[in-house]
Amino acid sequence: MIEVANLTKRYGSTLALDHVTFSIQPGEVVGLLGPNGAGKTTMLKMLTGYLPPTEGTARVANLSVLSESLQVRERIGYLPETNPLYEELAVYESLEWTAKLRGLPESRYRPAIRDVIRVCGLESVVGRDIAHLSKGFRQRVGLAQAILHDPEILILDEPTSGLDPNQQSEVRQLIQTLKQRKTVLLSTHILSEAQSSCDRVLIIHKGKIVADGSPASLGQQMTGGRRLIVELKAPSDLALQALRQLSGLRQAALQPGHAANPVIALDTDASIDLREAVFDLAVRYHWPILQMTQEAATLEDVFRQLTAASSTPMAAAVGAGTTATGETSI
Amino acid sequence: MNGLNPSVSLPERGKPITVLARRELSLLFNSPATYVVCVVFLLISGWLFISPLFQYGESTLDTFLKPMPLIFTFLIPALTMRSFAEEFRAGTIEYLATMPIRDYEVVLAKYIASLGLLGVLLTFTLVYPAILFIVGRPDTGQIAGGYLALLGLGSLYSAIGLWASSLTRNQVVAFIVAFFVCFVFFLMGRIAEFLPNLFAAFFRGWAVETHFDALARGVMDSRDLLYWASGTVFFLASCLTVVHSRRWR
Repeated sequence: MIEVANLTKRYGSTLALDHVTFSIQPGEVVGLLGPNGAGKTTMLKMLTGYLPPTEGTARVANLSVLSESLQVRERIGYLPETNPLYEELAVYESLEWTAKLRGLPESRYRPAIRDVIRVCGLESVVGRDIAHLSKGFRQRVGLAQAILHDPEILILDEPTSGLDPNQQSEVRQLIQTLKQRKTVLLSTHILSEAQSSCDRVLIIHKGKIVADGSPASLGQQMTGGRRLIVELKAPSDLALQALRQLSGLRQAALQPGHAANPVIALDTDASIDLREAVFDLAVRYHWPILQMTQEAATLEDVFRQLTAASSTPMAAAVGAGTTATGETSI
Repeated sequence: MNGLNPSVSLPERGKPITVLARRELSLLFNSPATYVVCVVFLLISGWLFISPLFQYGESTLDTFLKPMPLIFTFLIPALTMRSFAEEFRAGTIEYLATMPIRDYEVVLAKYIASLGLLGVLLTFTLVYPAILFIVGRPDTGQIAGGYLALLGLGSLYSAIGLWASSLTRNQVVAFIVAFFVCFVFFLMGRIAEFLPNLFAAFFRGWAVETHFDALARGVMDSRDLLYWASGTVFFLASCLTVVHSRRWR
């Protein structure tokens, strides 16, 4: 559905995208993750035909974004990062104008507008000027314009940027609804959003794709295994000694800061699940299990590890902003 | 949702120009600034027409037409300064550029809208020849030539205004650039008076007044028509090049 080969973009001496190659299959929801300035928006602008690549090729719906740009633009719905809207138009007028500009006949655009107004929850503001709408509603209007012609492919540049948590959740729900019938490529630097909305994540850093996979598999790829956290009501040294006897264990380490009962981290290969063996061991020694949690590296861990090298303040800011939502427990 | 076929066949491509031009026109008519500019123009042009009619009893459009090359250097840039500059400032150029429309369609639509507004404005001035027909027997050919000259002048200045507007995101800068270029075209005729014959002919050939006056006298010369047409095409093509240039930045 989307094929990108060696895509490169230079702004003067600045290399914004550096020989990026990937492909997206029909029906996939792919998140483009990266710190600010990583090249996400440049990539999306090239896929929509707004910017030309310096080198390489990009095909959308099997059409070249350079030589068949007009046909590509007919097939995609695009929500730019800045969500530019004509503020003097009312919501309905804006949608009607978009439909007319796309050449949809009246018999088709009227029901289409009704549909997008319902899907995007715009009923209450349909007659209001866009200039007087809240940021959340403006974002929905942008999204409504993008999906009005029922495109095969949706390209959304930071669709929840600047929205409050409730509005973010609403937009994510909308994306979930749309993803059943469309191929979606969205850029974000909100890791929880990528984790919850996307089948696959591309992490872009300094203009290069540094990771590609599902949020869960990326975590496993980064750690190369699993981690089981066990809290036992037992003497620390005895518990550690006993657990170290388990087969398949790579490493067992006492977690600091838990004085009352030992909390032990057990690292294994990705294919090994120690939970049953730990249970048997606890039963044998009559040590009550107070906690047992299997951890994978979170997308946040992966993101920070891959992008921390250069923009430390940025990566730290991203990490700080998503700590509450970034953890995954199994 | 709707089961629309996203692909609209390419032969329907004439339509976006109409849709865009209508929207541009409605935008212009919804702007208070447009009305201010239009009212000021009509007051000035009305005074230019009426005062000699009552003072000297002359039934002619000359006093209305003669200052138009200078008045249009203010009027047209004021009407066109918003067209592209505002799209760049508000970021809506990205919206237009990612819609299935071509850059030339956007430029042409804005040009048509600008001429459309000028057409509406000039329609109000038709009351002057109507008065002439009531009070005397004016030369119909001269009146037709005069209005053709106004349209030619408006066409060239609109193209210059659009080009200037495509250079910047600041409307005031767009106005100043357009005014300056229009004024240079206006001034060429005046400068020619102080130059030796060889240079004077060259300058007169470029001056808007030369071609305007000839047409306004009712003399239909293909060179004058070619002047307006080629000037318009040149500046519209320049505007298109500027708008299109983001694709090779």
